Amino acid sequence: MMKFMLLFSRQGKVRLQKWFYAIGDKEKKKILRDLVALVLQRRPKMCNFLDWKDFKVVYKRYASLFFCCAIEDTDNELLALEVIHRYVEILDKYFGSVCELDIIFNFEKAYFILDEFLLAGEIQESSKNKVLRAVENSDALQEENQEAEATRSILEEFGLT
Amino acid sequence: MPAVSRGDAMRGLAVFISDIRNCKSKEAESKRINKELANIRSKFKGDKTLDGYSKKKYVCKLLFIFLLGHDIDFGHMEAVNLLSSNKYTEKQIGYLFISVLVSSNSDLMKLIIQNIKNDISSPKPVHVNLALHCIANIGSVEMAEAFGSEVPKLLVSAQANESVKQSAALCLLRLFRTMPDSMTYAEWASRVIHLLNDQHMGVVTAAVSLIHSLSQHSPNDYKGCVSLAVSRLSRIVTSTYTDLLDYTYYFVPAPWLSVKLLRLLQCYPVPDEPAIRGRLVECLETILNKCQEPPKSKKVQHSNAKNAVLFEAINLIIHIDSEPNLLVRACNQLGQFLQHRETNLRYLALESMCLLAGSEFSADAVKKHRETVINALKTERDVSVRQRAVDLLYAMCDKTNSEEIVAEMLDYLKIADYAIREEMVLKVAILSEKYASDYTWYVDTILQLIRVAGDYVSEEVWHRVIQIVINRDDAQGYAAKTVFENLQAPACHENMVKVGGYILGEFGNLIAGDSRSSPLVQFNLLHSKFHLCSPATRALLLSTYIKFINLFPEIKPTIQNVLRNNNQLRNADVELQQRALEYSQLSSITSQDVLATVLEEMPPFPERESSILAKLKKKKPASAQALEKDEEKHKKSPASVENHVETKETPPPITNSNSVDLLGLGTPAAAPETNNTNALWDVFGGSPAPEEQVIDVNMSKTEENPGVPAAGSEPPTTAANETQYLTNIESLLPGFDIPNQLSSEQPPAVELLNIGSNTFDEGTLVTQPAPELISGIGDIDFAQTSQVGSDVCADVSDSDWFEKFLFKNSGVLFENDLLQIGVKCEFKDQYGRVGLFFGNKTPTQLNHFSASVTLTDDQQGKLVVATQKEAPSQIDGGAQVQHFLNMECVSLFSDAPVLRIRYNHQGAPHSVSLKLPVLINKFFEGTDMDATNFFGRWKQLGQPAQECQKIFQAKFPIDASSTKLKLTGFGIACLSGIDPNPENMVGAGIVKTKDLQVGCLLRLEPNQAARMYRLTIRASNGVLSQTLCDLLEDQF
Repeated sequence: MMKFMLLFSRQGKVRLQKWFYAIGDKEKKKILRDLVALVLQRRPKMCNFLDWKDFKVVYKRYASLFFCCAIEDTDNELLALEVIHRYVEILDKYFGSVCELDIIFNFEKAYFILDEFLLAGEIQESSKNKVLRAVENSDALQEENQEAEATRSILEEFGLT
Repeated sequence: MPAVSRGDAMRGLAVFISDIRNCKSKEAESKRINKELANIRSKFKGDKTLDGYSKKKYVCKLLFIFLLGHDIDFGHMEAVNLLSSNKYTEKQIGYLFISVLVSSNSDLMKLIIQNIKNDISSPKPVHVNLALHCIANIGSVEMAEAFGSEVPKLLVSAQANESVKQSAALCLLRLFRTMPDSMTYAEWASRVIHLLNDQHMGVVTAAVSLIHSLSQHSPNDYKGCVSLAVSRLSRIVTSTYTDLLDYTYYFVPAPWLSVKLLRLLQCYPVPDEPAIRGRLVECLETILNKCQEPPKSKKVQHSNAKNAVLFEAINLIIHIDSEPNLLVRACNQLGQFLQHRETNLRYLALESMCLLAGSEFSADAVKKHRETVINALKTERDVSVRQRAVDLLYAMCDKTNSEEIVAEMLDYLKIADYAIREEMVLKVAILSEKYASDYTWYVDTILQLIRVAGDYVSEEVWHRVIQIVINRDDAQGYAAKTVFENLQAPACHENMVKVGGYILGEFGNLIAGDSRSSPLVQFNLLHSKFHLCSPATRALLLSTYIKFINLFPEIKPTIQNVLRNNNQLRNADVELQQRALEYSQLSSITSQDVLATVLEEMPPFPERESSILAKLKKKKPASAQALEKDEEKHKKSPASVENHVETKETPPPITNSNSVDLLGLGTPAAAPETNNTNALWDVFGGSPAPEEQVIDVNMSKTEENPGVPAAGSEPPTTAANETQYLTNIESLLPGFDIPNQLSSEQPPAVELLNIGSNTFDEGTLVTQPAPELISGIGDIDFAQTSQVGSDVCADVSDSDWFEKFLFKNSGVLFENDLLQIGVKCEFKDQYGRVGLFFGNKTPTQLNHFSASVTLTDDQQGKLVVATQKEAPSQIDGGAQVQHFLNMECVSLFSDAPVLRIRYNHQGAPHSVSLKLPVLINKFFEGTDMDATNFFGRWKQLGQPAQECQKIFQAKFPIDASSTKLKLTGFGIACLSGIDPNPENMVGAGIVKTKDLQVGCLLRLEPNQAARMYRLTIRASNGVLSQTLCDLLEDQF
């Protein structure tokens, strides 16, 4: 199973963190700090896998973002690499040429999409189309309310609410 | 479809995020955040009519702030409110907040669970899914308890749509991981297994993960999945990439599902049924064939997915380990990858080959790639790949290539990355020991190891070289010469000084004949390093010096000067001060003979698992195991050092063992001693022996000692026995006046013993002192008995006794022509009650009957024994009397207390000494725990000192039920379904003593093929693991 997935920028800012097992906040912070530093110092041509603590770490860089996940000893590294890739593909299709900013400003979407794709650290649905359809379905429910909210947004733009 | 166009529902959030991003400094950011927090807080507090949208927005802002790394201590209630909103997006944000932040506030758990309950029974699948995701994301015990019975219904329901089933399967998996024992779902098993046949690939993909975990936990309930998995796999691998539409990934049909099915099949042995087995082999062949086809795409995703399936197939082939053809093909395929331009593939190929090296069918094929691997070690630019190369070299090493591989590794060690040096050192040390055909090579290798990577040479490594040198006569002279040469280097590592100090102290005399390494030269050389060393090393050197005084009396004054120097005598380090003081006293007040006895050459170390291997195992369980597997196979090979450590025939010490044992130092190790008891046993053979024989045993013992006058050679008569024997002892003990001086000499002797153990006991190096102490005392006891003139001393032989009483509490403890002794014990917590039943087998009365329990010094205070009911002093012919003892175990003790019985039969005195069936394991209480719990604790007890491991030949046919019976009899609770390998036994228990309770975990791994067992015991108290391991060794 996958133990956790992290997205972080080249500057080391964590953009998304998903933990698939129970772990304390302190420990999380320590892992984040250590692992981000470790991955960032690796050079481009190096292999995408690392033995780290009790995990195998699999990471890949897409533009300014690092996608990094920790899997268990018996898990398949190459496939984890493709889990990352598929997630990137889904984000890309959803946001339309996804970039780091999309994930910063729509972080909640990034989490929702991940929930449709991975659950309990395992692949829930490997079909890109099905994951997208599920996310779009829930977006459709959102649009019902959108008109009412249109007027409000002008006020918000000025930071008034 | 950019989300911004329709997801821009929360402008306020976007504005806030922009603000944060525009902050120029950390302070500005904090300020902005605090402002926002204050704003949100006031909104939540003041505005009772806050609408759902605003709540959602603020909760989302809080979440963002939390994810930035700030603490959030409010807003939970508002988030929970959102759960009951009828607007999907508000619900969704509420659930997200709860999933991320719930652990920090669980007071609301009841409310949350209520909301989830509503949603999970909602007719709208999207709501059900939200609820399931939330349960899976939190996965707490409360969740498992609340929904453990609800979720499976969704999984197997005919109505639920596919996406709900997918979520339900993985949700259940998460709950199962949380509470594996309360959710085995045996009653659902068949329906769950049949999800493998579901028409929706997505459902199968999710379900197979669940089935995998369930199968690991209860393989029998789910074994039906094997045939379904094989046929599903077969359908996938034979399909073309167009068949599976969405589930084809870069021209590879369903890679995720394939890999999961291949992993599921690794939970089970190869299917017996020829048709299924044939189909599986076909699948594996197809996967291997596909790798030879030209790629359908140049994209890396295509090759990754294809190779992911290939590597998993290879894992399965290794797991099956009975298809030589497939193994060799796998190995050839990996061989191609070793030179692939993709670093990832080289890395994985090295990793997989490590596993192939462990199979007898492919080991040779792996070895063909030796040069490529050595080359990888030298040329790979990525340290993690080099690390894999080291692992593989280690795994493929054997007798024929060990010299080359060790040489390459030593060579690489000079420039190796710091991160992997320690591990490499361990590996080199293990390989050089394991495959040493000649010990000069071994000694050279280890010393070179210390030279090139001294800082990374852990204690275990230098301890081990000393153990081996001590156990090998043929290596000692060479070792002394080589360390001496190495020490002459102007700068040498402290570890070299330690090894040098120890070895010269033991075997310096072997090279003292050469004037270039005369005693004084040796001493000066060592002492020139003294001031540069740490206190621990200095302490070791001081012990070397006192050994030198013994070995080379001619330099005694020089050394005494050093010992008496104020630098030592007034050293701030207490240990150094004490050693210097005691050693200098010892050297001046004792005679040469006593000194020689005290500083007798170290006895051989008992054969046991290499501490280095144990350490490596701790660092890298997988790679150590690979070697071990290998090792079991090679166990018989005479080259292995461990087998060479046969008990070396140390000549018995010059003085009779009695005096030696009083000092407790330098006793010939356990082996000669057991010989003694055996001899006694042989002579008595269980029947009352005439007194002469007792004496004979003792006499023959003395005669064995060279240089001892045959003072007692004339067979003494019965009457004169007592005094005669005493004189004999006296005459055997030059320098000691027994018994008068015995008492006056004892205190220093005991103290010496303490230093003694410190001296040599740098960590695990020496295990003797403690057992010696016990055996020494035991022998005092024996000596006294002899002096008092008891005529019969009988003991049940250990193996017999153990078989009888280690696993049960009652039985016949002793029987001869006169007397039968039965025993019945009960134990509860730290208390024990022992009933003894003495039966007079003769028609005449036994008088002056007495029974008493003696505790060794080691047991004093650790075990309290009180007589509850005493047996009468006369036992009539044919009668049986009772004797009851109460015991309390105060703290851990290691040996059984001894019961001494005296009585007269027809005027002749008799005495019997017996071990009572009271050992520490009797105070065990078995504990039940689940796998998570067990392995959690197992990991916690991972310190090397807490673990004890033994590998031994099976004495009886390997049979799970009788083993289990024994373990239960031993007191430990046997736990089933914990170990992934059902053959292995695991158990847990608590040893209850008055002072402490020690938790203890056990794992017993039988190897049917080799007829061996490996026993591992972990306890929070290392002494206990050792004691228990000693007790259980060779009992199966």
